[in-house]
Amino acid sequence: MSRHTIEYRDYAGPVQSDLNETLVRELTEPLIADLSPAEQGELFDLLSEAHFAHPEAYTRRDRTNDPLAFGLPELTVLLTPVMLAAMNEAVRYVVASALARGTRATANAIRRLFGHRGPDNPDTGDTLVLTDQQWSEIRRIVEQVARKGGVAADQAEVIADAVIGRGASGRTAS
Amino acid sequence: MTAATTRDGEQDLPVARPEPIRAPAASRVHFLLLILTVVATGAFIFLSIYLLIPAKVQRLNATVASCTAAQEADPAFTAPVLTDEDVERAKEVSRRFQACMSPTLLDSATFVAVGLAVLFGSAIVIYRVHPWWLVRRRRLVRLADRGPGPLLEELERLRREMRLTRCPDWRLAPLARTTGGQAFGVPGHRYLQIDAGLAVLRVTDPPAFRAVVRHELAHLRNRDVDQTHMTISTWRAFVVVALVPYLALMLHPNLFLNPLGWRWEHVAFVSNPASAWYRFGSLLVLTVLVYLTRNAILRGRETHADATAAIFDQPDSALPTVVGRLPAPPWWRRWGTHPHPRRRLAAIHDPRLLLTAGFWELVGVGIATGLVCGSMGFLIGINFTVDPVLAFAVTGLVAGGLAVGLLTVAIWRTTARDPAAPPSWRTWLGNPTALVVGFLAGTFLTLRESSTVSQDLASISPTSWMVATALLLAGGVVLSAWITSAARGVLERPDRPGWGMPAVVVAAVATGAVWFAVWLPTSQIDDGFADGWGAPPAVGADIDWYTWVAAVTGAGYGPMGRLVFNPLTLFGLTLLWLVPLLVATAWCRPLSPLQPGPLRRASTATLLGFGAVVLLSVALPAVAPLAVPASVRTGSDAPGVSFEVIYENTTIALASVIVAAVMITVLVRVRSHGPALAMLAGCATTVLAAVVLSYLAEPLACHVNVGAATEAPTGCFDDATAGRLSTRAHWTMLQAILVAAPASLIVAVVRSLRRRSAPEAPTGARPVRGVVVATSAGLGLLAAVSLWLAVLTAPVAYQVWLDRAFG
Repeated sequence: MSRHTIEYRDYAGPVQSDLNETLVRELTEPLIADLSPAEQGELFDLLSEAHFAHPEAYTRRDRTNDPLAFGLPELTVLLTPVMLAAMNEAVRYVVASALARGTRATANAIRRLFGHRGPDNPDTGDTLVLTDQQWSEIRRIVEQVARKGGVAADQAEVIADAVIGRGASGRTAS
Repeated sequence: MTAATTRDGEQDLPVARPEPIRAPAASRVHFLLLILTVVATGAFIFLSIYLLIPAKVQRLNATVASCTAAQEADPAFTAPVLTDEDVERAKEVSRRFQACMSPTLLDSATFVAVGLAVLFGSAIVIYRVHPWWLVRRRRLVRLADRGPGPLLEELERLRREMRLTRCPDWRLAPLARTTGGQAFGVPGHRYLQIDAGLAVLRVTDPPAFRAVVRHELAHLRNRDVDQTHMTISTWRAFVVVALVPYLALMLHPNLFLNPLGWRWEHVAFVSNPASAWYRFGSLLVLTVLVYLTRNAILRGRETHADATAAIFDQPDSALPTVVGRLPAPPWWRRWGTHPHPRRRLAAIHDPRLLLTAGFWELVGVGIATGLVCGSMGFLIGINFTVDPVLAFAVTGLVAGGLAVGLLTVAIWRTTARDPAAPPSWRTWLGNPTALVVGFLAGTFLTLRESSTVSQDLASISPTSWMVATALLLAGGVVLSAWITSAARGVLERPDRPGWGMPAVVVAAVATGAVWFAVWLPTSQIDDGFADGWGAPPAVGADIDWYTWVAAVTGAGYGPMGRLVFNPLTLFGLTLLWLVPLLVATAWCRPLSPLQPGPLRRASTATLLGFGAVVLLSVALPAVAPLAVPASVRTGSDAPGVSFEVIYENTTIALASVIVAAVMITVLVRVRSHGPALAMLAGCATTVLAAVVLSYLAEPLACHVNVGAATEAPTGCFDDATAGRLSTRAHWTMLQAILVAAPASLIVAVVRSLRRRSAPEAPTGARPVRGVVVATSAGLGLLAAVSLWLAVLTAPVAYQVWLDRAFG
């Protein structure tokens, strides 16, 4: 880790929560569409609202022996809260890294960094560039959060690949 | 209301599907027994707590001392009881003692009542707030607030398919990764929770999603939500309000007196180990019983919901797959909250299995009944009335009625699986045996029993206990045989009326509860069922056969008087034949008892019995003077039974034998509706016999001067009264049942072994309308006369049952 980066855990984050929520939601939704199509659309909205209302709940372990409940015995891995949490931590790390270098991490720059482009997000303006080491750190953070959310190790790698993959394409573009 | 929750999709309703099998109301009876068990156990717990409050105990002791002193100072208390006036004075002494004690006893009763009110009030509060708590704890999101969407639209479509007219409040549990749902709520506001995992399943496995949602909707359709949550609330309130405080007091008896002064030698297990451990063991078993009853209710609702959901889940049914994937509970959770998946699958494939009831279920009911009878009878006896017989009878009437109701439902459910099959011995013998075994176990678990364990107060001899048990079992088996027959009679009909089953339950309860209410107080007394033979004659005791007749015909049987002078006895017996016939004649189809075959045989037997009674009435006045010397027949002041009484007893005994013979004949000769027709023939012969005895036999005996009176009797035909008619009818019928009941058991056993209980083949002939009208009118008249005779016992019944308590 270079001396210009700060430890992720030291960063409390100046990013406003509202902005953060919108941004994280924007960045996560396409990933959900790819990895868990069943959660896209109205369910994604419902789950993301619940996640931001209770950000730590994604780590909760549900009981399956409720005397009055009926359903399949297996627990479903809800990717929406896990990926929202992972993306939130990744964005927070990026913002912290930028601040450490004395640059400003705008929302558009973060969008571009993670390969999120569209007609309202042109390829101009501030850019963020991360080193391979920082991308590795983001991968570690995403995997760590995913595992904390009950995702199996191999699936956590897939999630990290998805996040980094979009970021990698953004890096190439910049 | 959003567009998605309106009824705009009615045109999408599927074509009519078969209605789900409506499960009998066994779970409701379970629920009532749960409540009664909690009441009985809770009452004793609160009474125990009352007795651990120093001020209350001091007041009670002082009252007992002063009232006892006042009673012993009363001259009437020590005076010998020889005359009716002495009896009345003794009753007055008892009433004065009760009046002296009543303020203190009322105080303890109020304490118990308040404790129970707090317990059930807590249960109601828990029940009322459970929706709020679940919504808050699970952070449920109202789907309708977000407007229409694919999820809500599909849920509404499923709701309409299940023909639920009222929309539940659909809620998403966004933090739940489980793939389940849950119906809950209170009347007027039902919630249906959809786990986030289940919402995902809508896309990944739509049939499984629909199966789960339909299962939850089935709970709303089966209307079991309130009972379920009230059951859980009652259990929680019982633990918090009654169980925990009681256990705390067992560990710290001086908690109220000196909360900080706990000493190990004061602990009940140390100071009085035998009683304390018995109480603790009883309490443990009682708690387990309440818990298992709770679980039985929850298991029943799940299986019923599976069967209901399966009806609507046919085209793409994934319910068996979903249920098949559920993990099988280990053996120690067999009595848990969820049934074994194997049983659930079986109920889905064959909903008739819902109708079966296990022996363990009835054993549990029996235990609960035993607990209630032991505890509540004792409590009512010491708190509200000086008459323990009345206290136990009232308790037996209520608790026994419920137990008989559940026994009826269990037999009904078993019979409904295959009504045409010959009834198995498990049905009419196994079910009542399980109930009786449970009842006996329950009587040993009452806290009253535990409080007297070290005082040797429960001094019922083993012989007395066995006799009482055998009588209870015999009564249960006879009643079960009738229930089985009546259930088959209704269930064999493809177009049976909806009121058939409730009517059979009412008839069984009306009869069984009354007999049990008479049995229960008698069983509490040592040798209660062992009253001896009739007293020897006042004159003629040296004639052996005459003394033998006096002994046999005058045999007193403790509880018989309480059945004879009881308006409910003949009422119940009338229902035993009236209900099956009413159900059957609702169609007038072939195989109806009004068909010539079975009814003709019953009528013929009745007429033959009537003829025999007439013959007896004519012959006995002629034979008696030949057999008994005039000196014996003449009245005497010597102690013993007079000829007049022996003659009357003999007449009634012979009439009873005739009625019993009629009933047995019908049972043997009629296979379809045998018990009902036997009871009909018995009642008809009894009424006719009572009329003949009152208006022919007695006047004739008087007219020919059987009593060898020195002056020729006059006004022989003016002496008959309606009251005596009623008494004769009751004695005749009840003695006939005593004779016929063992015979009916033998008939049932023989039939069961020979497997010849299939209904008689239809004759194909339609009954003649005139015969049907005449027969119906005759049956209506018989029912009316029987009820009139039952009402006539009311004045004497008051003296027998209520006079001691209420004056």
